[in-house]
Amino acid sequence: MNALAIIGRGTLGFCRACGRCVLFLSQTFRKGLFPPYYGAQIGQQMIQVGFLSLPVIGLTAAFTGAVLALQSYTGFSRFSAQSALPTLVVLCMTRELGPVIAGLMFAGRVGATMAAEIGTMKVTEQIDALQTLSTCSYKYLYWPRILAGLTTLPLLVFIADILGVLGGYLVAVYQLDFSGAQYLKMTREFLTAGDVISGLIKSAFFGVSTALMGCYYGARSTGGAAGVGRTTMNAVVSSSIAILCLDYILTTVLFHK
Amino acid sequence: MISVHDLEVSLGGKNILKGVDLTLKKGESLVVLGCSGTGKSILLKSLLGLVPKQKGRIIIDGVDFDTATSDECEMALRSVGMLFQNSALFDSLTVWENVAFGLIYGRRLDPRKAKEIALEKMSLVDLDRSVANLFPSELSGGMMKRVGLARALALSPQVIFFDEPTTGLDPITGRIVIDLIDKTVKDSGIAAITITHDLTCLRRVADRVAFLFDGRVIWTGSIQGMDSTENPYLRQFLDALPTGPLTDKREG
Repeated sequence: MNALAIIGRGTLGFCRACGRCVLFLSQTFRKGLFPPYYGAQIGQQMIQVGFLSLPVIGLTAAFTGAVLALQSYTGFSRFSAQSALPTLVVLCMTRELGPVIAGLMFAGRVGATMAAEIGTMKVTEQIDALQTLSTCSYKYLYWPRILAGLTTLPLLVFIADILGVLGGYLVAVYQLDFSGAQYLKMTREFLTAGDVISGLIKSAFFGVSTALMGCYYGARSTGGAAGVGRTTMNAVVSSSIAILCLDYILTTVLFHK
Repeated sequence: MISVHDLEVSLGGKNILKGVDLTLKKGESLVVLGCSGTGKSILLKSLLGLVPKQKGRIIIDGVDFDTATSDECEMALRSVGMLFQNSALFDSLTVWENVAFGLIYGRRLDPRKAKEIALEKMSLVDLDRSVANLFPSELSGGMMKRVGLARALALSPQVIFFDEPTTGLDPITGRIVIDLIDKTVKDSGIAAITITHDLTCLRRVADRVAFLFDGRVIWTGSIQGMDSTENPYLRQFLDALPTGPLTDKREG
């Protein structure tokens, strides 16, 4: 009975949190889409969230492509299918690994930064101060971040796809004795625009969910430094889980036959 | 100017305000006294719409928040400024950007014009232009209060709320800040609600005093009335007695 009550409470709590998240997101869109717009804030977030995430996401993608090439080569050589390696690398990078690895790195870097920044503003009454200065926190704080997540992660994933393929190419050509021209030909041959676009669509969802978790948990921070620490952890964990769940749902929808 | 009837606020399932009645006239300075945890700051935040109310009416500048549109409420709230307990300055912005914030982002003024107004308001609170480009982390507690006050004044409010303006300041700086608040409020004819435990501050700024206990205003009157009151709760608070009805009820 007790265990059932715990499960019931947990389920209700989860449903309530999801509902609040959805309301928070719809409120942000409803307020953010109408003027006044804070262009400087949006630009600043694009740089902080997008441009400054490029090194860590680029590096991760390049190494992921390189490792993928090495591992696949070992596996494929067992049944003489090494020639499929370029195709495998490009399809894995564009359809799955590029968006997910970039999304998870983005959640760690950006989700944590947003939650900590907004959480600190909340516990030091800076968000209350915004309201008293006739400034809507949804328009000034949350909308620029969610918009930056929505627009910059697809761009980052596009670059990550290229760097991942480049990582695979370098390993294949300089370590596994593939011909460079042959590798590029195989890479192009089976790749369709749909593979790349589906990854970019996924990443737009991942970007919004990461920014949403950072803003939502930050805005609900209480209890000083310890509270902000908890908030940051919750934001990163939730956005990582959301990315993996969304990945499954979107893959089912986008690649369903 | 402000009228509050039977205001009830609950937070986390706990009733904080249980029926507050309060009025503030134009140009009047009201001080709200009360023990820690009696909901004084929550009262100010609920007036500003930062904390939702469960029951009661709030009327600011003739606008009843229960019947008015959101635009009317927003316009009424524009006439209210606030100095927060820890100043709540935006730490990523410089002093002048903090002061001009409401003008630039709230009122959409040209940043150059807003900077001029900000520098003017800074001089009103005795802040030198040389601090204009400093960040809040480079300021002392007293200077942060001044910046907070200049920021609240920048939007030319008709009412200012002061949430424990002398907390965390040494007695001399506290006295300077009180004098500054008193001078600024009286010179500009602004009405004010001040929350404080500091009796020196109270005697300096109050036209009228309200004593909050157990979620209700249990006494209001002038400073003279306060000094001669027989109300046992307020008497214990003023005499700082460790035993009495305030502590009995809290422990109960």
